[in-house]
Amino acid sequence: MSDKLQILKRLPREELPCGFRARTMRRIEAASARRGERLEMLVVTLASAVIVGLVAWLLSRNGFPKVPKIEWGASAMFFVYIGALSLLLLGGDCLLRRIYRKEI
Amino acid sequence: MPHDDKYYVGRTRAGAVEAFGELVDRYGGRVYSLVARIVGNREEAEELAQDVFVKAFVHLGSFREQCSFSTWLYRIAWNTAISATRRRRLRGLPLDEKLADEGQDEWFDEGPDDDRRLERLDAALSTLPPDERALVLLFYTEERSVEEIAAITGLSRPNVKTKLHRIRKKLLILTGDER
Repeated sequence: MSDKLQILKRLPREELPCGFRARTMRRIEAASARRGERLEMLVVTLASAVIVGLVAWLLSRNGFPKVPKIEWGASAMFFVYIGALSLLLLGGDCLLRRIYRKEI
Repeated sequence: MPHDDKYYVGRTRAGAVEAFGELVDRYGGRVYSLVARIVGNREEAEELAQDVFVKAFVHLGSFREQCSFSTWLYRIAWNTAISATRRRRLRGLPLDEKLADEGQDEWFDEGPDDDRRLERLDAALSTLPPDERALVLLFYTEERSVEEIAAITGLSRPNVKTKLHRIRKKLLILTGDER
């Protein structure tokens, strides 16, 4: 009985569509990139957890530091200057990041 | 000089994604053809065949080399195609619409006996349920052993043999070759 079906070996294979390899490899590269991003996220999360854990341990060991009361008097302008400089640098950072992304 | 599957699997695991392309070249045609004949639709088969290779790439870490890479890949192809037929409730339509539209009698009087028999068998094959069709294709056209088919389908060896015997009988009855 099995001999009669051996003829099925002659059944022609379906032809692979054009560009199959390229499309498949694109999907595989995307999957590889996603896997890389997940790994990076995991490393960053673990590193952050370690840092937070370390800080929590230090604080519990040494106690919370006393924050001195700010004397606004003469030093008010100094704090305004520091605040303005921080905002300026943050704005510059955002602008440069936007320019860099456009260039890419 | 072409290397064996183990080499390309090793290189892919080491991070050389392009090495997997060699495996796509090597097995793309066979996987596509098998999936296309199981689901009975060429467009869907291409997407499913791509899914097979993407799944193989993503899960390459779990390939333990207890069987050959091709057997493992065929297992993914089997699961992907059969799941698709179950999910989408495909009715096993023949790939060539002529088979469905025209009467089969037209071919009986044309061409050598073997060609006519092959056409009748192909038509009969397309009427089988997807999992039975897949078993026949794996055994005869892909020339997988019973052991490999058992590994691919998750069935036991005796179960594969019994199913193949039953399907053979069914096909021969359908084509009128049963004596």
